[in-house]
Amino acid sequence: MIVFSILAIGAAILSLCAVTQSLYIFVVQTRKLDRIGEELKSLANQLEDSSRRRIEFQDKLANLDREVSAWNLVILADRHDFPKWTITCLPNLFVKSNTDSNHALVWQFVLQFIPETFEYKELDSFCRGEIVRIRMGERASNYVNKLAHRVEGARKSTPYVSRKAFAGTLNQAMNEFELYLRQQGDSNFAELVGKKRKEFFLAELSNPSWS
Amino acid sequence: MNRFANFGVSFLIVILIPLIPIGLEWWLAGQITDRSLTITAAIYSVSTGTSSRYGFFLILTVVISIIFAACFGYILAIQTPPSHCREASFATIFCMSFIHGLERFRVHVLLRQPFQPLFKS
Repeated sequence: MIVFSILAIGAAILSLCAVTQSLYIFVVQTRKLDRIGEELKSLANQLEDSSRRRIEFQDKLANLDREVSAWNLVILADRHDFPKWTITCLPNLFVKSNTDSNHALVWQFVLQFIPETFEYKELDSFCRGEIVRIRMGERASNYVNKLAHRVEGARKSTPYVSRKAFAGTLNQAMNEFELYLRQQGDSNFAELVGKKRKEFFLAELSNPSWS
Repeated sequence: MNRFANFGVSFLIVILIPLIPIGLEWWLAGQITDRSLTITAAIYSVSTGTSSRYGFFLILTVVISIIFAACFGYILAIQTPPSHCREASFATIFCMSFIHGLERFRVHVLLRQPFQPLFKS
């Protein structure tokens, strides 16, 4: 009997050790993420006026690739209030949740190109509305996957810092997506993408705050 | 659902609902037997370990689970619980709830991940 008493008490002590360890991990990981967020914010402020800011910021993010997941980078950007231009440098702006595959973080630019017939719901917004958390059905998910693939490639590869050049790059990417949809026989979706693309580009052209 | 609602639902479903059997026993019988406590501690600790992201916790909780499973077998066979087994079971259940709650808090409140719904539309 004494052996089982000792074993039970030992198990309770092990449980307490596990609590201590989990508290330690919680504090260390939270601090580590906050430190990375502060470093990135500080770097973003330093690079604000640099013509190579996108390239240099992306280089820094590439080094963090293994340490911080794409989802957590968006959370950091939101928590530390990163400047708007840094949001478009993040490695992934279409991130599916790893706890629920119906949820995803999506760049708000992409949302306007999702047809109304696809079911999706905006649940939350991050980074002053630049990124939105949505819940979507399978059809919407497949469509956004294809759309995001085109936009993400263009967004990440452009080194230009001016809003004008950036809008031109996105316009080009959406034009390619429109052509892709036409080739696939989705002329209705292609029409919608074309219409929204023109609206977006005209709105950008008429924006007086262009640099 | 916002992040606190996600955490609340997750806490209710993942942490509190598995404890309903001993809660019901306490409510209906006025006390919880040592057998129920030890088997709950054994299953609850290993289920916490398997849902954890850390291998260290899995190993630790498997060891804890084996110990309580052995205690459960001993109580069944001898009908006399080892001393302090009751307190140790309570402490273990509480510690596992705390560990799991902390992980859920980090995932749902700090990292704003949604809680996986039971039934998807």
